[in-house]
Amino acid sequence: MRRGNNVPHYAWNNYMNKASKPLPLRRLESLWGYLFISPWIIGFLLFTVGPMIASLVFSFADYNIVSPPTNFGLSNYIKLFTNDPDFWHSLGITATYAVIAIPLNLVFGFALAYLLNQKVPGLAFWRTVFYIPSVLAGVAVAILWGLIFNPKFGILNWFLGLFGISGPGWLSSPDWAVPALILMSLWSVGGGMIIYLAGLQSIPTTFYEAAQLDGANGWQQFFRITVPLMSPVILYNLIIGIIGTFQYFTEVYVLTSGLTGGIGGPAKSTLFYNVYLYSNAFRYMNMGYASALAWVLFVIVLLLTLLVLRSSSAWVYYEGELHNK
Amino acid sequence: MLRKRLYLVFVLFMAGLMLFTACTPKTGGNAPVKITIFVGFGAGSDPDSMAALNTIAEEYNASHKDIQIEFMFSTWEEHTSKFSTLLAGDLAPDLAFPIGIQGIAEFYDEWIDVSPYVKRDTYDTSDFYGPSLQLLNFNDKTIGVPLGVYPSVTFFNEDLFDAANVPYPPKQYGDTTWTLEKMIETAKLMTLDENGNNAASPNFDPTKITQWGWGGWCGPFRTVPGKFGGNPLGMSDDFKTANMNTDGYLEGMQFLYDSIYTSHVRPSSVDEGSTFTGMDFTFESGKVAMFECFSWSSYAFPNFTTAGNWNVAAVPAGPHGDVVSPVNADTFAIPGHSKHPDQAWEVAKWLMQPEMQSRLCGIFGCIPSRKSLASGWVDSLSAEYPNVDFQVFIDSINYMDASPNNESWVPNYSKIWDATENAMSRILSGDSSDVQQVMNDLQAEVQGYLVEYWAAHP
Repeated sequence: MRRGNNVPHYAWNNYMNKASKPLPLRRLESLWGYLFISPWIIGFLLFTVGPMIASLVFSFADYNIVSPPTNFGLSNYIKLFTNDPDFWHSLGITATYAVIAIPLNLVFGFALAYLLNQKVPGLAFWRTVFYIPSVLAGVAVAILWGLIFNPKFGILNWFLGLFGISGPGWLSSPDWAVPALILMSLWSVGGGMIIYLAGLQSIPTTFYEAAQLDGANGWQQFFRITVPLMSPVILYNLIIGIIGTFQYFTEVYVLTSGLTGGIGGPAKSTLFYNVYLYSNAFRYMNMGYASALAWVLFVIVLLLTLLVLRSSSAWVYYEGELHNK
Repeated sequence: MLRKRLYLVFVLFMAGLMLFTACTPKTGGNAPVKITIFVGFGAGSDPDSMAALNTIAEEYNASHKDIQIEFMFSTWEEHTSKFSTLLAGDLAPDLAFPIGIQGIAEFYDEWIDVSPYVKRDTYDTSDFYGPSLQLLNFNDKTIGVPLGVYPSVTFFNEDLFDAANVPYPPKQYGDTTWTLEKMIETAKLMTLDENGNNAASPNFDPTKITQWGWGGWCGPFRTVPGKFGGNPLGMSDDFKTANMNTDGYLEGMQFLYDSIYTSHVRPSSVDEGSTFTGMDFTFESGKVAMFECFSWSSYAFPNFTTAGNWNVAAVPAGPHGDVVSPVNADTFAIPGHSKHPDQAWEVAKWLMQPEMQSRLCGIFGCIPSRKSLASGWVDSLSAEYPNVDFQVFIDSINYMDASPNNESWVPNYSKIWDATENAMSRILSGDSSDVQQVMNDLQAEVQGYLVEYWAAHP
């Protein structure tokens, strides 16, 4: 095409643009987008995906960190399931903790959020007070609770003493160490609470007004409106809770490393799964075995999460789904 | 668009700059060799020690042109993870110092044999205590030259003994009446309930104890069996058969149990977790009359003094006549991954000079391994604590468990270590009252670890 006098200016420009084949705007923007997030992508590939693949490879080998991995095979996984009592012991402790701590945290978080969703004086203050503990560092919290649990001078046994109850040894007692940690987990209930609170505030008041007109009392409104509409939030907190409890480590490490019997003591009563994993990786120098433990943990958490998600169709209410029915 | 291009140029420039700096050699050809010294296998990581070691590094660097040294500190809790990560990352330090027998055992295969250096330099070891050299001579190699030893003694609170009108434990070794049985008898007289009755009295209430006669042994459980005629290794000489539920291990564990739950002279670990919170040693409370510990407890001597007038005595003989002062030791070790082992050896020699050895032991609390320095160590501490007979520590060197040592290498070292400590914690915490069962469980667990090790190391 030659530009003649009879060719409009815009047509000529369109032709030239097509001739030089510039990138479509959407594709160009995509490229810029990838460029801008490239630091994150590179970091994710190098520091997350890469180590995950490496740990998967190591999980099939004898690897002590110092020497290259050897003896590739399934021996780590076979030993783990058939010849390692501590694996089952640590899994049992973690599961026990999860079975008790997760529901407690769900209930307490929900209850707190429900209370703080009422019109009470100093609402902002109370919300802040209950949320602050959940943003504190795990080590600091562990040290603080170490003092609270002190059988002689701790505030907990002092409080029990007011009712004539002689408090136990808590962390130094094999029978009370896990209950103490469960109690401690309630400290960070504010994290779930703030999510519940956001959920509660998104429930339209018209539902309650309609229910009141129909004569529903407070309990009925709670169980027929609040709980169903909050079920997606409960589901989210449940999944996050499962993941968190199966990765429980810092508090146990800090609180038990000075006890007789070492980390996971006394008498292996706090040998949580991740504590055992850590010991294998950095105390026993069995990084291959620790990697196998890590992948088994990943699968367990994945299965539990899928199970919960699968079950959610029976108990989680999504407003949009109902509309589609 | 211009802004985006500028951003692109900036990103590329920064990436290029980082690549360039990463690939640039850090030192030139004539630059001094830097020797990194890893501190974390025992003493040396507390703030005072770190400051003192950094001062030593400054002094060394000021007087040496070819080699410069730098201390890299780690807490005890993190030392295995940090050290192994350094090895894995090809960033191995050149020296581990100070390092004890446990640290050596944890990474036994990593350390190089220094005997060729000792031979090459005709390094004079004649001044060293024989047992301290023996501690570092292993079957296939010699690791380090002894810096110092930490023998155990019996610490006792003179004020409490005076108040109870009970004779002090003997300071001299060779007193055949000073046995573990006698020690428990003495401890009973020193253990009081809230009504002032001692543990030998029929009116004694073990649920209301206000003062304990004995604080136990501060060492790990492997320090115990030697006192009962057993082998600290807890296994056969070929390391293939566990012997945890026989000999010294069982007897020692039963003794420990009885001291808490039968004679009531020693606090349980639950009591320790409550009454003695915030203390490294129950003896610091002034509520414990005696306990046995290593000389590295010297960092707590000021707290002992706050608790009352204190002194030291000989360790008692076991039921079979064994007088064993469990010992810890410090030396240096050169990692096999070090890029500068020759220079590391030179630095180690400098650190092991008599005057420097004396100074370092002053920091860490060890008794210098050179006989010629022992009196200086006694004089130095006696000036600070004139009431205490520090010669007892020196005398204890002759009774230390040098070979095998309570920290000596065994297969699957840390697993077995944790297993024995866990067994002890079951007894100390009251988790189990069946000592035989605890030791049977331990036996099975340790045997499993031995089988596992030898399957991987045929």
